[in-house]
Amino acid sequence: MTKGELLFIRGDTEGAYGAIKFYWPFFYVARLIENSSYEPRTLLTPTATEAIESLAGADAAIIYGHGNAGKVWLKPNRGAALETEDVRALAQLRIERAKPPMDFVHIACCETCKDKEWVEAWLAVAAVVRGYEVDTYDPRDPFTIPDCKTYLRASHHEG
Amino acid sequence: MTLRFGVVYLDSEDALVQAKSWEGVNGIVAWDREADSIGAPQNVGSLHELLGLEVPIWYGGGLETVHTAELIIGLGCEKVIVDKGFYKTERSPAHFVRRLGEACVPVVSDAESMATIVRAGATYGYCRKGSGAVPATGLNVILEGEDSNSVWGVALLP
Repeated sequence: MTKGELLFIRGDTEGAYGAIKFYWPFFYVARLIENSSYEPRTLLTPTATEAIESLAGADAAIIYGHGNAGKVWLKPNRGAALETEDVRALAQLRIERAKPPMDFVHIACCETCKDKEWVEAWLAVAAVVRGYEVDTYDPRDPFTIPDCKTYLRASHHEG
Repeated sequence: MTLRFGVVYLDSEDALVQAKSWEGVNGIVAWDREADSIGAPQNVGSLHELLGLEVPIWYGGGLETVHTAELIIGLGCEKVIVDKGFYKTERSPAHFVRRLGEACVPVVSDAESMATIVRAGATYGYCRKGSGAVPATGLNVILEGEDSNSVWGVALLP
């Protein structure tokens, strides 16, 4: 049986005292082990168009890098972002290509899910959305791990 | 005995194509050039792809801590080439060798660093091109090739 594709997107990781870059290989390997039933593919600092095109064919996705409410930064130094409108365009593209919902999307970026429209847009793409409503890392309090929220499609029932 | 290795730069878009183009080599040295300035591996996705090939992979780039080196070995690399991290503190060389054993390949840049890795008990050393280091007895010395895009010479000197 063919493995589903798990797309990793590592966006902007500049700044934050280098911690986000240093943590990336540990994050990647841990997620790889957790999701060993998938075939991984990785995109580094893509444009929004490249990200949408790749996400349109993926069965699950993990996004890592800087974020703000309703957007993830893709290019270094907040050069370009994937925003709610882009996610809506992605949902439309997947419908046109008759792709079923992704199994999950995990957005490991600061506070993106504070924006409810962003979460709703992703729920049109994936059965399960995981992400953060707060900062994922605080250099003044580096050992506190914030809650990762899980959002489910209305039609999705786990278990 | 001399082994032959190919070199691949993980930050290249065609790293996997580069790796597949090496035929008849004993392994591939996979460099993450982006990692060196950051102090941690960055192109781990690309490295993971290479690890699907049936050839030993030696990884180099940005390994400043034993934890990161162990992570990369855990991913499936046969050996790791360690540069700055190995020499970070007085106790670093022994710590790296004790934890990584033969998987640890410190970079040799001069006679002093060669002496350091021999004292630490390492079994391999990686000599950069033009480092001028003299191979020490008992150390397996990996020598960079003349052209960094060609097969690299690996001289195992007893």
